[in-house]
Amino acid sequence: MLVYKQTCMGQELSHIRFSGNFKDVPLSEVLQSLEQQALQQQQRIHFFYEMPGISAIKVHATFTNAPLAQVMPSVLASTQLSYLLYDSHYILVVNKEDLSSLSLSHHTVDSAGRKPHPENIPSTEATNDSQETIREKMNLITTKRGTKTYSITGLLTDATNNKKLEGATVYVEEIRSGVLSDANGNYQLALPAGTYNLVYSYVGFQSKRRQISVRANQTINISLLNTDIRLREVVVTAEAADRNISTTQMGITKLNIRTIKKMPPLLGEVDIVRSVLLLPGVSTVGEGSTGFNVRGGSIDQNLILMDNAPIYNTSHMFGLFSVFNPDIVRDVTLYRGGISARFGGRVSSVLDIQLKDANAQKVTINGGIGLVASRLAIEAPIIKDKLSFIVAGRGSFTDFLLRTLPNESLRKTRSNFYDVNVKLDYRINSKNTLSLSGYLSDDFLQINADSILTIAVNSSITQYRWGNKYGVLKWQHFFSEKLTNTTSLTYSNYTAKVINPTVPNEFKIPSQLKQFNVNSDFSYQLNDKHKLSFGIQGIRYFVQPENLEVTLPSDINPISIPTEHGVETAIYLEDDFTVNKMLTLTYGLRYSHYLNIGPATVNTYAADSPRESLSVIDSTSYGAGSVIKTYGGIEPRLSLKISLNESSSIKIGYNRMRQYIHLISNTASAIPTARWQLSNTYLKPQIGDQIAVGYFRNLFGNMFETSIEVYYKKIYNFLDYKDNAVVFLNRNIETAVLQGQGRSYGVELLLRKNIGEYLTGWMSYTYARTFAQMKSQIDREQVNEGDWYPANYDKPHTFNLVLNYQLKKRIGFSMNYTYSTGRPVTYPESKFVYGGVIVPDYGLRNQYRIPDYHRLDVAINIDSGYRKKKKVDKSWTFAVYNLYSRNNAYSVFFRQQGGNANAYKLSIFGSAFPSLTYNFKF
Amino acid sequence: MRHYYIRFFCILFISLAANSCITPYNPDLGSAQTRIVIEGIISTLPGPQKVRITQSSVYTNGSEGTNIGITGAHVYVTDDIGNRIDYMDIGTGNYETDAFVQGIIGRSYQLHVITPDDKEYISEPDLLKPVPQIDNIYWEYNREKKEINVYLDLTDAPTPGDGYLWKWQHYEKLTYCKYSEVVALPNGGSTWTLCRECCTNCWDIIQCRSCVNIASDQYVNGNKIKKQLITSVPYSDYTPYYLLIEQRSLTSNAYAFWNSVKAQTSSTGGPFDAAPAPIVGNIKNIADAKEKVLGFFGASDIIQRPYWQERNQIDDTPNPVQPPYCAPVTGPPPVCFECIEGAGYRTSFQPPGWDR
Repeated sequence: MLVYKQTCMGQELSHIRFSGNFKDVPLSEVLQSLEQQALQQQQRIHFFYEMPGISAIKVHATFTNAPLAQVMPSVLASTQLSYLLYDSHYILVVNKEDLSSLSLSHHTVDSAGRKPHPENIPSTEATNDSQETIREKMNLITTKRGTKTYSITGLLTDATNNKKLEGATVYVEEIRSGVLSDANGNYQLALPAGTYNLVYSYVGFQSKRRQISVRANQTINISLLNTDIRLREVVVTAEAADRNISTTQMGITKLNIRTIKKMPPLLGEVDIVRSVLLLPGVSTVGEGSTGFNVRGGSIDQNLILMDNAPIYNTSHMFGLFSVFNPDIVRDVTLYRGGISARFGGRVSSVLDIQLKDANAQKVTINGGIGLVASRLAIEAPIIKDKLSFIVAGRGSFTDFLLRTLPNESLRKTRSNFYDVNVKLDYRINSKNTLSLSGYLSDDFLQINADSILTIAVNSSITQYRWGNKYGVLKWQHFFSEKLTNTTSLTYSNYTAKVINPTVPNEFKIPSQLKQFNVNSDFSYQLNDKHKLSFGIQGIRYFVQPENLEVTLPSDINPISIPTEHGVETAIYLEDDFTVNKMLTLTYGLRYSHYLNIGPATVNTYAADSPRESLSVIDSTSYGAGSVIKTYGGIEPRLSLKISLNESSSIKIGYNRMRQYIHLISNTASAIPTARWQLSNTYLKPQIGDQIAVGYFRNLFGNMFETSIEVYYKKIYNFLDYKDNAVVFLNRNIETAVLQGQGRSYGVELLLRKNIGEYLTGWMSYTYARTFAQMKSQIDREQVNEGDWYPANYDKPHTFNLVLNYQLKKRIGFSMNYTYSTGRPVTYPESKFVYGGVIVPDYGLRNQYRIPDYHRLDVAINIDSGYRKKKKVDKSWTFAVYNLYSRNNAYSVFFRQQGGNANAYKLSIFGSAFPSLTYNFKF
Repeated sequence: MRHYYIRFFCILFISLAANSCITPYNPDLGSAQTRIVIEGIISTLPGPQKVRITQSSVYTNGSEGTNIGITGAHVYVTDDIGNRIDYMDIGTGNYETDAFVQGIIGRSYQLHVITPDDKEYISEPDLLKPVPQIDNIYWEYNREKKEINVYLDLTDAPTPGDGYLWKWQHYEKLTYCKYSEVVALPNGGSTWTLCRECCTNCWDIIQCRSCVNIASDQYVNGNKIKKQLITSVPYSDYTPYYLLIEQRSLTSNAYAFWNSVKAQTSSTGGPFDAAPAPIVGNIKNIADAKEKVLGFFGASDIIQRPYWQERNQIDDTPNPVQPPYCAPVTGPPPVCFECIEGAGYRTSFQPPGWDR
């Protein structure tokens, strides 16, 4: 939605002059010589060529003081090679044969030799009223500066399927500046009259260059060609190579699905949440756990949005895999700081998962078969270029593996999951787009005996069933080129159930979290210095905590906990303000308001005693719809960028967030049936304040991104639990929960290489601390006597290395390495014997640590879909998780075995796990 | 029981790679905290009623250090109508009442301990609640494990907050009271087992001391508690198997204490275990509320019921346990061996219900 100002290092290639007299010289040497000559003229060019065969090519050429446009044809004259200009200083040397399939000329791209494509022709559309208005406004603004500017707008799409490209760069060479396209692929530039060279580029796509003469407002729609299809291995460019230094954004990382798919999978499953864990500032209590922790926040402090709908549980198989199907995901953005005023409702982060737009031109089917799950996705136009759909599904096949187990009781274990995404895109006209998106996930797990929740009812097996559902209707309307609106209606429903199916003690414990959202977000380009975003959002919550249900007659007494009701509303206004070339500012204000409404009964507790069921002295009943408790307040957001020079900047960010819904779970990792709880009389909203400062620098022409970010975060009303708290089926949850404060701080260092023919990846080191404090006058309402103590996920040192190496055209190699300090745990101070049982006597919370964690994963991707005539693209991924079989500790625990006290280490993935996945696309 | 879940993860992937999920580990636990541990109940079973006072010791692997008793303390119990029962120091941290002392249903009991260093401890009053009778005992055969699961049903009282605790004892009638390894002379090559018959009737008592088998009426108040597993009897023979089943009442405080003990001693460190936390008992130091006192003093109504598990109706072949091979003895039989009773491992007293 936001348009960012760009400052790029641009060069005028035509100014560089080359001389040479080559006789029978290898091509590679000639090209090196050209690179050096450019360097001597303080200009940088890079040649990229396909590896095999190039060393055998010899060159005969002579030229003196010639521009590149003359030099290259001369150098390549006797070969089967041609060349392409890429961005402003990359030159690709490719086979002519390949080139012909690219519908591009082998000339410099700004010459007229390109194949005409209807969409590519710059059009000067007839002006209409709105454009008139814009022009007037432009005139007003620009008269001050004495030059009149014109607006250049357009849509950037993927040439193969017409999908909109968000975050693509439009770079104007002459002014060494550019903009990014917004979420709908739209871009907007304001230029004074003149002739310009525009370079359109997007990660993984061929850049396009246009010469335009600006004399009026224009619309230029551009389709870019996905290099993934034909030229995948030739070059990998960064997404807006200098985006990290040129925008005000900090603490924000975007992962393209293509990057995620290259990472080594666990058991063959490409996993979005597991990829997010490799980003700086993100940690987890251990592998196989639900959710993730961002900069010291608990797992419920992450707003997880898929297609703008909230997802309350991201886990399949109790946290082993995540619920996002990689076949439908376009990209994943994690906001761990500098969170836009558009987002709210969670204290720590936003994980924004954007789905692909359906292919509007042809039918595409892709899928894959893995050890755990298999996938299939179909996308097709219903009305070409207007109405299209995408359906993607995934299902697991683990039951048959479990049935083969030798042990009878384990053979009773069952585990299944599936998820389905459906999306319908309707481009009504140039001003209106409608999309309908739906999602359904379902998990079933059956384990022998009541092994997780200690429900004091006898049973031999326990079943868990949980799933997310949502539906989103989204309408995008373009009032004018400056004002756009996106309005969405969202229904989201998370259900979880514990079931005991066995006689004589059958029961079900369903729970449900249901919400309706209405969001209306506007984006208004006031002028070339200000871009405003504003909107209004509303959420109606219905939370049904656990209910113990039985089929009568039964010996088990049903328990019913009433549904909780809440209404959350918010308004916000944000301004993207480009003060000057040096200083850019994004500042905003959000106001959120929350009502806890009836029907409900609220207990009153004796003032000086611990809050427990014995200390209830009174209770008050509230009727349906009556307001029980109100919370709310302002949430300021600010980020600013100071450019130091073309390749470095300093950024400062501050944000306050408020959270009105909380996950109540005192286990190490939350189970899917863990309870969600709205803020009420006793449970106050969590409030997070974060300040961060960062230094960003790009090296070697944006080839390397480096950054250092420092943050300090304070969370008010941070949640923790009393010792031995019972949260399950607890009617008065306030008797189990404590609220205090949390604080975290850290330093995040990142080195990322996005551009490179062979090697891309990143390396990050994080130092992070997280502490909590639960202080009270009443001893039983405190933790660790009211002192600060480390949170469960406080891991001071984390190092991650993610590498992707393209060995050959069809063979890629990838690896992850991760190291982190062991998480804090509570150890016994002593042991004692009671009733013949050796009992550990636990001391203060989280004063010890389990052993450090480290792991290496590797994968080889083999692609057989390179040949362009093949109808079916196939690929194989062979991966090994935990290659060197490190027996990492998940926990250390203490128990009696055969009359002796013992300490044990539990590992969840204590050895190497190989896997093989097959993917296809046609 | 929690094991199953962890094993689910482990086993799911064992087919792919050799894996060991749980391995012994020696953490550095720092210096020890020595705390007072007080254990005792007053029950409706015939006396003497017992209290044991010990110390906690450093959490090392093994059980050493936990049996150091505190002697010389002054121990007595009071009830809610002003009666006082004194306990005698019988050494090694054990204290006993007179043999006639029995708890009375409906009374609340409170323990007082004054240690030799003049610290005074007091327990919260614990009500002696009646325990209902066992409705019926029944069994199911587990073919895979060759075990017979013994269950019982009972009817809970209409009052909420009732807890139950079960224990069992298996009595094994002995023929031989002593097995000695002897070296065959003169060549000294092989060892034989010399078996000595018991001088009197004698039974070995087998029980699970570290098992915590409890239930509460939290979800079934006033109804039946069904299919409570008591123990699993090995299918090793066709002969009947004797069990003495004990059912105790617990107050909700006592249940909460036992439930914490059970949770922490059955921890598997898995993702879905609650974080470990100190177990809060019902005893405190009068002068120093911050002192952490370990243990619990409770009052329980206890019923015992003998049960013979038949083992001749199962359509399966048993898994016999081979008794030691007694060396053939020539000449006069070896001298008989006394039935030495001690610490509840062996008795010469016939258990109730032995004769059918």
